[in-house]
Amino acid sequence: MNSQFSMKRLALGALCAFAAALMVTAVIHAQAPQGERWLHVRVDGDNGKGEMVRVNLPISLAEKIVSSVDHNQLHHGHISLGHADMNGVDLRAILDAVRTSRDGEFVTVKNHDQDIRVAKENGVLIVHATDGRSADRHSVEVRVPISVVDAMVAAGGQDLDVAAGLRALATHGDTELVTVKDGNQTVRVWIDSKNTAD
Amino acid sequence: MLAKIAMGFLVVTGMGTAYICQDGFVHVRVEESQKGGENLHLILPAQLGPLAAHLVPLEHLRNAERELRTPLPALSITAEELAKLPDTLFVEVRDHEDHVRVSKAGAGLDIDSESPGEHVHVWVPLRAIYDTADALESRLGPN
Repeated sequence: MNSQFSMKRLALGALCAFAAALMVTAVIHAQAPQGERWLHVRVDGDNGKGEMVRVNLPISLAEKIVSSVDHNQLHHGHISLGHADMNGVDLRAILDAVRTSRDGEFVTVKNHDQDIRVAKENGVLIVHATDGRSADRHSVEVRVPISVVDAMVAAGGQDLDVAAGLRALATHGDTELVTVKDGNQTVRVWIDSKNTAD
Repeated sequence: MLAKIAMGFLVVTGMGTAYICQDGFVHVRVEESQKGGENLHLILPAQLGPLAAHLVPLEHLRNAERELRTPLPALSITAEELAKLPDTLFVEVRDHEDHVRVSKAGAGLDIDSESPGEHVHVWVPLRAIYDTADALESRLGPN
C-alpha cells in the first residue's frame, strides 16, 4: 500500500515537473520573438578619441513607429512626395523605372580620381562611388534590395510606403545596406538577426 | 469600533500603495564628480506619471497638444513593442567627452549619460511610459 502511495506521489511529482518545464519553455519562447530582424548602424571615428555611434533597432519596431507618426511629409508610414521639392526630379518615376528594368549597369563614370557606378544585380540596386586619391579616399556603397523599392512604390500615387519597405527589408537575409569610408570615419548600416552590433 | 476604523484605514492605505506602486519605480541617479558636486538618488513610483497625466488641467494639455500629438502614439507603441524584446543596447554614442547609452534592461528603459562632470542614470518602467502616453492620448481625445 505504502509503495503504491509513493509511486503515485512520484508520478504526480514528475507530472508537475514536466508541466513546470513546459510553462518555462512557453515563457522563454514568448519572450524571444522568433525571426526578428535587426537594423544596425555603426559609425566609428578613427581619430584616437574613441568616437562612435551604435544603433540596434528591430525592423518590426521601426516599422510600427514609422506607421504611427503623422508629421510633416510622413503620414502613417507613407512619405508624401507630392509637394516635396526634388529639384524637378521625379523620384517615384526613377524608382519605378529601376524596379521594372533588367539587371545591368545604369551609370558608370570613371576618371583619374572618381569612380561612380549604379547598377542592378541579382535583385539588388547598387550605388558605388569612390572619390579622391588613395591617401584620402572616400567611398560609398549603397545596396537596396529591389523588393524593398517594389514595396515602397506599390501603393501608387505620389507616396512612398516606407513601412512596406521596412516590412520587405525584414524578409531579407543578412544584408549590407550602406558602407561609407570617409577619411577617418566609417559608417556601416546592415540588417541581420542579432540584437548586437558586434 | 476603533479597530474597524484602523482596519479600514489600513486597507485603503494598502490599496493606495498598491495602486501607486503597480507600475514599479523610476530610478534617477545624478552624480556630480567635481569638487562640492552633489549626489542625488531618487526612487519614485512610476504610477505618478499616468496619475499626473490624468490630473493635469486640460487647458494645459491643449496648449501643448501640437507638440504631444506626434510623439505620443510612437511612444506608447515603442513601450509596448520594447516589452516583447530581450534586453538590448539600442543606442550608444561616444565622443571624446560624453558617453550616452539607451538600452532595455528588464522591464524598463535604461538611460545612462556620462560627461566629464556628471553621471546621470535613469531607469523607467516601460509600463509607466505606455500608461502615461496612453493617459495623455485619451485625455486629448481623437485627432
